[in-house]
Amino acid sequence: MHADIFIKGHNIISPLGISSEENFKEILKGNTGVKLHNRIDIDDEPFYASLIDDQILPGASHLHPGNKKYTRFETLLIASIKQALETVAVDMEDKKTILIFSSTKGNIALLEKNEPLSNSLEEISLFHSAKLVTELFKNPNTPVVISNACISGIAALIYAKRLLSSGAYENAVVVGGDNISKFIFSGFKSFRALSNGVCKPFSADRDGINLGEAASTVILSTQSQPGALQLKGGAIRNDANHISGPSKTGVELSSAIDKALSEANILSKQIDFISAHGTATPFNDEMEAKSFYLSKLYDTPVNSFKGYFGHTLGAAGLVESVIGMMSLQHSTIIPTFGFTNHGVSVPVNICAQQIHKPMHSFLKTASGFGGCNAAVVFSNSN
Amino acid sequence: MNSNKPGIVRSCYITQSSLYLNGDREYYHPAENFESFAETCYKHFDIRYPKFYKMDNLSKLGFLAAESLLKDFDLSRYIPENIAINIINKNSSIDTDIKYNQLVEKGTSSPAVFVYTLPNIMLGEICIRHNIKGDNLLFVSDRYDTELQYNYTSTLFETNESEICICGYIDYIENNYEAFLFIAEKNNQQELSSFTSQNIYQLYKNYTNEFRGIGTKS
Repeated sequence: MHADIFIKGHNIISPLGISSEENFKEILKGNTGVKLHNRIDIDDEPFYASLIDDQILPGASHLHPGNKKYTRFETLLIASIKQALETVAVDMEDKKTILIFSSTKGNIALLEKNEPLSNSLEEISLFHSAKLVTELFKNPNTPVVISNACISGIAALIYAKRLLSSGAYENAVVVGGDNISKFIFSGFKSFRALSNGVCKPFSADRDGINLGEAASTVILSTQSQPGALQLKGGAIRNDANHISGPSKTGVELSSAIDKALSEANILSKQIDFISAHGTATPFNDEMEAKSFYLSKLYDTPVNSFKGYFGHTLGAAGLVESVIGMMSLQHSTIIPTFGFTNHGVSVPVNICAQQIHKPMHSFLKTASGFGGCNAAVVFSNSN
Repeated sequence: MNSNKPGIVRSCYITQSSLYLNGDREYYHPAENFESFAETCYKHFDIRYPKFYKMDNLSKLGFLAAESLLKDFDLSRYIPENIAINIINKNSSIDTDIKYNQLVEKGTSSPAVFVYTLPNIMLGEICIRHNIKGDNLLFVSDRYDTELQYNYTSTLFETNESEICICGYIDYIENNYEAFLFIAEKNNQQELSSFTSQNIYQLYKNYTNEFRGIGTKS
């Protein structure tokens, strides 16, 4: 058993940049990837979202017509892994390295636009994409694919931690992403879950989410790294209440938080900040605030990064964990972009200005359709 | 008697108009399609749960399998947070994805259909029905990877994350359906077999072979 799981490297590809550092720098400057788009391939009306321009995507040249080797979704994942590997040495061809994928809808865009389904439905399958990417990196292991709605990224990290702790592998390359197309957009629109502007997490006037595109990679390892952060604990819970509406009480997310804290051997008062799911829908933010309160995180600064990236679905848990980790390392708590005034029924300390202080640990939470909730704790090694 | 060893206590299998419980065929109703099989099955077992009719086919399949598996099993002696569920699936929610996409093309997208375009909704439905609040994961693979499921569930037991786990494989695509579920208990006294990857595989194979046997006879 390996008690300690270290963060070896990471990456974010979003409209704000193609490395974790670029993304973090833009966020520190108060920039957002969310803007007004006119994309009739996605919706008839203009909408606010954070969409990746293929121009900035490394290795996107093969997206040109005529070259069908990898889809846009797969290209995002490949680019993110490659960028993550630029900064750390991981032997992808080693049997002790495994790839873990997190996505909600993967290649679903292939169903649209009357594109003929040339090789049956197999090309849409998440496992098919995972296999293509795994083969590209010449990794000898069968990849693992996790699809748990909006907690997929955090769930994949928790799965990876447990897998590495069991001693089965030394390195886990966790990669997540989703591609926004008409399919996904129309669904959230039909739920009336989309904001009319840039989203306003935890605010009284919040009116829904912005969708976002990103790919993100987090490389976990059993090998100790000098100065590396650790993934200390994690837990997944289900509301057992409703398939599309969150718990009315927040008890189940609170249970995930408490379990993640106890596994990390950390008290709630030792948490320096919370990177919330904070989608900016009325119900999600209310439920989350209640769960923080139940877990006695009354004064802990809380932020949501949805105003910078939108809701990046299968990538969200990874993107937001990476920004949280960089916050720890830069001793800076990031403000909640879009926050106006307090709008939930319990006291919660929403971070609205940068806070600079030395820190040790943060909590990351996520919740999703199907009633699922997840929480993880990251800490400095010392 | 091994009281401290994880064991497989029950199992259930559904495919092509047949439902098996603990190795025996419990119900058979030759039906034209899954919808009509699901409905007669629902009535046969005298289930009263109107939400069933709102579910998509993948969720109905998982629901019926869980219903049979947990009938006469007292899950309530466990704390809901200590009950886990993890399911492997091959085709995700593709069947409903196609239906939803047709609605989008017609300009009539519906939230009631869209919500089922996520494979873990099936887990949510089972959790709601049986008050399961513990660890829940949906894996997508190209086959029923018993090793993956065994290894993960073992970790849940070894780390005291879970006391009991509903495991299996549930897949639905274009009227082809297969559900295999079993209960793994951490501290088990009346097991069918001990909880090992080999035993899971064997149990699953027994069902698939049995089904093939019937298929050739008829």
